[in-house]
Amino acid sequence: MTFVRRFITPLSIAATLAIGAADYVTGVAITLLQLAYLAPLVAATWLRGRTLGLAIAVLASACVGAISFTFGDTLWVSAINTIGCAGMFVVVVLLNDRLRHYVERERLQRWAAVEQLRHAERLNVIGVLAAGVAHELGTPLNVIAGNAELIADDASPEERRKAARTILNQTDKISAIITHLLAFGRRNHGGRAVVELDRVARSAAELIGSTARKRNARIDVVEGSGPVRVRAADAQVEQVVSNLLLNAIHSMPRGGTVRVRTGVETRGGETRGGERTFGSITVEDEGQGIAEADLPRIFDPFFTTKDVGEGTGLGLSVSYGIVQDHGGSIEVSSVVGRGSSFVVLLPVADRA
Amino acid sequence: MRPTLIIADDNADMRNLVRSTLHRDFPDVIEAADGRQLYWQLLRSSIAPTVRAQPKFVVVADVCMPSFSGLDVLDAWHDGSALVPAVVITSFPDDEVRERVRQLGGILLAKPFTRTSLRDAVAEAARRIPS
Repeated sequence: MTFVRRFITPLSIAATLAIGAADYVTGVAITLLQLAYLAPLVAATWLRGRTLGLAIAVLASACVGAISFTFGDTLWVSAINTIGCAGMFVVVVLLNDRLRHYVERERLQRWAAVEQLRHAERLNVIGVLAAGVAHELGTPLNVIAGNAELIADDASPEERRKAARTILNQTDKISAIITHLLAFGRRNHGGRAVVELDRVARSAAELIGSTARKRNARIDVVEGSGPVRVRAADAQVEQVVSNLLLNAIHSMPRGGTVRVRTGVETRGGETRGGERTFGSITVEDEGQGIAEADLPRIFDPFFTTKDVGEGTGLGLSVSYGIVQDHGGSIEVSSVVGRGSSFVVLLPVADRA
Repeated sequence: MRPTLIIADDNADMRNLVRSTLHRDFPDVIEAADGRQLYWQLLRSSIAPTVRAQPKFVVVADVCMPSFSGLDVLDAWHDGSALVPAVVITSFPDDEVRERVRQLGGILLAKPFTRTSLRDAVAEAARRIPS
């Protein structure tokens, strides 16, 4: 297909001449074979635009005229034939060109809309996280203020030292939270680096931790056998894992445990391309599961089974887009009433 | 007799801060690290022989805690009985929380609070202990 696309100009000219030659050799003349000219005509217009389409139309009309004249029509009849065909060809080219513009515009608009939605979803997730983060920050800030007061007030030297140590601890906590937020909020499209999946899994679990606790859910990060390294934009992978964790928590209205596991898996052994090695993050919940009828649609934009206002139906589709961008995939298995398992596969980083 | 102080917060540093702030007025302290423990401590405090006749305790509870939120526990405890002498701590003092605390007869304390405001709030709550 790329070949046709790249060489459409010589190809369409050659095809037109070939049809003309066939017309001449078989002597069918006029009627049916004239319709065959439409093929290179439409292809040229669709792939390269109106100018090439009109050029091919002129060429095809010339062929029709020449053959008509060669096979004994008078000059007048040949001319009328040529003009008639040319008219038809030009109309087809112009209509085709219109359609092409229309489709192109729709495609651009759609692309812009999807981009916008991705951004909106990102903001929404950040909003949810911000509430959690605000709570996480509130407590250490309060502890700092209280201990500072304690130092200012009375307090023995020993108490003051203790208070100061507590303050230091709390500032460390706050810096860690801020680092997280920054990493999450960064619009990092290109910057891929070698990322350790275990670390990403842990930091996503920390980020969602307060939301989980509020809903009586627990996030267990199961230690893998060693670090799994992939080439990825870590903030994006963290967003994917955070999304999966939020979904897992939402699927367990009575609470429960979400297990996060990292590992290495191979896929594609049965195809010609041979086996490929992926780093994997598995998110397993004990929730309601996904109905079989819903499974094919869960990655569709706006598909949601959550209550109004709880989910936008974009989380999984955005996650899917991110993972696809990284050359990976997301696998799902689910048993209704037992829980779901999502496996994010990302190509492992080359040994370097 | 001085009332016992029940401190419920999932953050140990926070519990320490509350404890050290109120140490002079409330030397008897019970700590709870989540909603479940808070409920258990409330139950335990009120069935102990010495306090059965007169439950004398003041609760300082965080709203956001694992298992049950502080508000949920106090709500369940409050059910049908007298007001709970409680100071409820929260980072998000929205209308819903305010209303629930009001119905409990408790005192809302928004984070971040000063040690003085904590002392005042707990003293106010202690005054509400039914005698």
